[in-house]
Formats: sequence, C-alpha cells, structure tokens
Amino acid sequence: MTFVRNDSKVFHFCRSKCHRNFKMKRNPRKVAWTKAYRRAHGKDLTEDSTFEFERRRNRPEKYNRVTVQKSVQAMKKVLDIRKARADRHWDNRMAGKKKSDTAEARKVLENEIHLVKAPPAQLAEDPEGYMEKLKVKVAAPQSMESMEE
Amino acid sequence: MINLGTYLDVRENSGAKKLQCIKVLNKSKKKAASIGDSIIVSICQKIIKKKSKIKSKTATAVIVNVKKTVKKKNGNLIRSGKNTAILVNNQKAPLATRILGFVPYEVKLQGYSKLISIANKCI
Repeated sequence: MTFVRNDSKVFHFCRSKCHRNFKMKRNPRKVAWTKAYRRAHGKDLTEDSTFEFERRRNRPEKYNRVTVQKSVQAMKKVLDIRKARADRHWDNRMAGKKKSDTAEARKVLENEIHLVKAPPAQLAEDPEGYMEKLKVKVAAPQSMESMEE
Repeated sequence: MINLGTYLDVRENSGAKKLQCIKVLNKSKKKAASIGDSIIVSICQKIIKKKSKIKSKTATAVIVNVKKTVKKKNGNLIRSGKNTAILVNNQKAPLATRILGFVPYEVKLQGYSKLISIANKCI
C-alpha cells in the first residue's frame, strides 16, 4: 500500500497493520514494535559502515559482466559482516542481563518467603531472625525548630 | 473515480489553480476515469499573473492522483489525499515547465513520456 500525502510525500506501508496505525495518527517512534522505535532506543544496530553500501543511485550503471559478479560476491560478504556485527551488538546489550535477573529473583525470594515457607515454620526454625524481621524502623522525630521553619 | 463535475487540483506551474471535469475521454466499458486517463476540464480558478499561458477556458488534462485506492499492475495499491491533474496539449506534452512531486508509471504507458522527463520522480 502506498499513500501520497497532499505535500506529495510518499509513504510505503509493509502491511495493513502499519497502515491502520498510520490512520490512527500514531507516532512510530513511540510504538514499541516498529523498526523506528527500535532504532531510536538503541535496540538495533545503527550507524554502521555496512549500511552505506545499500543506497539508491539514480545514475544507471553500464553493464559489465565482471563488476556484476564482483558485486554479487560483495553483497554476500557485506551481509555476513552486518549479521556478525548485529549479533555482537545484541550480546553487548544483553551482557549484564543474567546477573541482574538472578539478583532480582533472589530479592523476590527474600521478600516473599512466606509463599514458600509458612510463617510458623519460619518461627520454629529461626525465632530470633524472624522476630528481627518483624521490627519496623521509625524515623527519628524532627526537632521543634525545624518544624517551625 | 473522476466523473463529470469532479473538482481537481493542479500540481504544476501552468497557472491554473482549480479544475472541473467536464468530459471523460476514451470511456468505453469503465464508468469513471482514474490514474493515467485523459479528461477535458474547465479551468475554474487561475493564479493571477500577467503572462499566463492559459488563454482558453477549457483544456485537456491527465489525471495523476486519485483519492480512491487503485491497484497497480505490479500488485501495489496506491492512494492519495487529493485528486490532481496536469494540463497537456494535443501533442501529449505538458503546458507547464515544472511538475511538483512524482508522476505515476501509468501516465507513461498512455504516451505522456514528456511528463515523466520533467517530473523529478516516477513511481
């Protein structure tokens, strides 16, 4: 589907989902599943030298059998390099993911232990530690001078 | 879907501003004109200029954009926000010297290749 706006700007839509979202006047940079969002938020690889090969050139090239063969070979090579770089980008992005996930899971286990182990059982096992947990810290009372201010 | 009486905008610098369709040419089986079809128009509004190329009140024009979605031969669908046309003479050459925006490929198939050479883009 191609849409031509009144200022003669051309929009190409890959599927009707995108077209419908355009009609709703949604900003693609704010919708999480779009390519524009992923690029804007650093999810995908951007600003790479491999992207510069793919360009629309308005000048027609003269046919030459050798250059065609060479360019076909180069296309495969460029694609491989781009894929490797994208994979590396993903790896870098996900570097601290496992550590933070385990830390979060441990925190949840500590805070919501009553779901795993019933409170009476915890009390029987470690009475001192359990009672310490129940204590609530109260903030120090403010001085009268500060209150007046 | 351009019929008798449809108002059209102009997307070039010939001097016309608003057109009205008064006749659809080469109409045999189809009911209404679409992209690439030629029509006869009356010129309703002009841009005020001393040296205007348009002297008569009527002219022939080629339709470039239509609001109704049109299926192209390669399977693409195309639609635009306005109904627009370009004024041409009997030799299928444009009256204007500059065309704004692109010209669809269907126009070229009808023999208006001079339009394509002036326009900066062809889809």
